[in-house]
Amino acid sequence: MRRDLKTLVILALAILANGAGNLSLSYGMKSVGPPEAWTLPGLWDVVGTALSSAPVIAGGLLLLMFFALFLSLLSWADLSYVLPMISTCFVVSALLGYLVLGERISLVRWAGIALVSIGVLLVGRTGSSSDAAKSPAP
Amino acid sequence: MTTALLVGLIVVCFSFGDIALTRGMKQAGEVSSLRLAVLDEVGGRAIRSPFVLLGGALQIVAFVTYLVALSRRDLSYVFPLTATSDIVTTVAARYMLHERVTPMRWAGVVIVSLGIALISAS
Repeated sequence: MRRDLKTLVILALAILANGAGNLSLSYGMKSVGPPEAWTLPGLWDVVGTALSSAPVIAGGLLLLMFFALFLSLLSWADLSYVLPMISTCFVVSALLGYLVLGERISLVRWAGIALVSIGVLLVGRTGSSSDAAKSPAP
Repeated sequence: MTTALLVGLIVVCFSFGDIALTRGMKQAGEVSSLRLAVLDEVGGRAIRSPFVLLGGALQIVAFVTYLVALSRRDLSYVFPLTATSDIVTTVAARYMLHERVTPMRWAGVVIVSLGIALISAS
């Protein structure tokens, strides 16, 4: 597979895993509920309940998968490319919260979503790896 | 410790954590395919890489500091400030990892950081 294509595919997978993971965690934690008291035993109860919630576990696994995909990207692509591109996660999470969880998005937040999207389009037009620019890939 | 110091610590740990992770993963070798044998080989080297371990540790310190900062100030105050870490990371990637950061990439990074700050400030 060509490197550019591979980069975009893994980026897309990472962003999807992050979005689905956060959605699942958010959904799961809402039914777990806030701690009854902000004390160590109170927090411990929340951790215990969270760890027996299927959506929370699924969310955690998806975020682990995200981190593995992020590390894979760093094994060939520039950090200064991957980091801004992965910010698409903020847009996807906000949109998923809006579409699936019925969260409200303020005008300022819509403006932020637009800015991130414009920035990602700009960075996306630069080559993903400095090494490839210096010497042709074998 | 003041919130400014906490935010500074978060930004430094996130940025240098990412730099260390990148350095370690470049040494571990390219994930050339998603075949299990390749993942096992590169993953094995990554887990034993001092740079990857250092990067992971710095990220954990950053996250815990982030939680401490959140316990003192609102999320909509702390998080936009940590968005500056992307800019610090890009400068560090340019000089420590010798990545080629073109003007277009710079423009993109700055616009993305502004966008993240807006999303989280509201």
